[in-house]
Amino acid sequence: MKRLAPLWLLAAAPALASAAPVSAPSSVTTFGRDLVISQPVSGRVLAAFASVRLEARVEGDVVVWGGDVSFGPGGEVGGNLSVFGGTLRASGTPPVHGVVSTPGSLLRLYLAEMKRAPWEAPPSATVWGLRLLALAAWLAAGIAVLFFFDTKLPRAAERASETPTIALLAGVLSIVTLFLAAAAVLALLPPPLSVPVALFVGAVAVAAKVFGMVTLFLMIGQRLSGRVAARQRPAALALGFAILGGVSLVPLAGPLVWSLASVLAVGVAFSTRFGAPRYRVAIA
Amino acid sequence: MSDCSRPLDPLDVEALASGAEPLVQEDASRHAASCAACGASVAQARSLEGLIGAVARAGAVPPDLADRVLRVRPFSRAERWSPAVWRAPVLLLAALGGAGTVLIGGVSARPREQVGLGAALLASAAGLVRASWRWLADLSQAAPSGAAALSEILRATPAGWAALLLLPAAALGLRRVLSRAFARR
Repeated sequence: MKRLAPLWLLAAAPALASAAPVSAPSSVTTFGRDLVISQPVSGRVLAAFASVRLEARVEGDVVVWGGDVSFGPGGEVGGNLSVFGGTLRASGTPPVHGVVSTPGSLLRLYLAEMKRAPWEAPPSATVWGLRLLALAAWLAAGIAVLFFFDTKLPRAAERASETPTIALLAGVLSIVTLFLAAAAVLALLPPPLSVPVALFVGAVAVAAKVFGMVTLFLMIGQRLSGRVAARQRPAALALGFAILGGVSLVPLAGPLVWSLASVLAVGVAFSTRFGAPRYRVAIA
Repeated sequence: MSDCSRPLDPLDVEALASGAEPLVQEDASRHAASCAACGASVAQARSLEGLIGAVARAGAVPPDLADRVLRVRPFSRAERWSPAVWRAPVLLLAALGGAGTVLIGGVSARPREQVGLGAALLASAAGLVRASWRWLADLSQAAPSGAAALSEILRATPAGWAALLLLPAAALGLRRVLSRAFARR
């Protein structure tokens, strides 16, 4: 990602082939290859898993997934700039005529609220504060899930503790399957159909992660405290959350552990069918 | 609905079915003998007890059944609304929220503004609420157009076909693992 090569001509080859020699390319698209825009583009610039450096004007929107955006002299965006899961680098105000959005980054929005430019490095206290607040949001979600799913959650925790290896394997396969399904849907179905389906797949993944993480908190807490009675569940949830959340704050190891827990969580949710009972008994 | 005007208490039905003395109604035994509806209730309870006994004798009841039932028991009404039951997570939530707000308050609280530290913290908290609201709005607004852009990128590459080719293998593997996980005792 960090290697910035002038590959835009390669990426824009189909557009250039049909355009007049003097006209700017209508649109530039790249997947997995970093891009340098060194000539004006009359349309949009779209990139996935690639960084984009803008050294010329782009008339339309610039949308980047999983990559960084930087500006060189002459770099300018006439439309909106959206960076999903990446960083926006600019010395000073980025020359964007439309809206600059970094969806998914609460930190940058908060800094903007505090009249601090989103592209400036934040003070470390702010980062730590937002991390603690993010953990607080997780705990609030945990309390809500336990309150409303007081049978499904302990059932899932009990079953996940019986088969943690299977849950981990299910997590890996679930994430791969959801990712492939979303990619196939987005690439092969028409946009009016593919976008809602892809968003639905994303929502399912988020629901699985939330349910699974709360189940993990409960499972860890119950294992460590040895208390499984209904009235002791909230305390067990708090204990499990404190341990996993505390580990997540450790530099380097924390994000790795949290990521592994997230994979396991998705597996727990699917392998227990969100805590559905294994058998249903009909009483005549 | 029972046809009997003086139906037996469920406790007495269980007691009669198991051959014990009734607890609520002293003449329960005589009443069950004379009342068809209550007699049927006792017979049904006796039949159910026989079935449960047969299962237990066959060794089909796992030794940890009682423990497992307790594990998945839902909250009682009193437990669900009891502050004492929820004290630990709520206190932890308050501590995390408070510590986080104080830490991010440092962004707006500068040395000359220390007099108004409370105001600075409030400003930070308000900024956080606004940012969270904007984050949700931004995400919901950008997600469809972002997904459409991603769709356009993927269309220009063979990634979609590759994903479609790999999808059945991954889905079959997942199905096998899930069915194994769900069937496992």
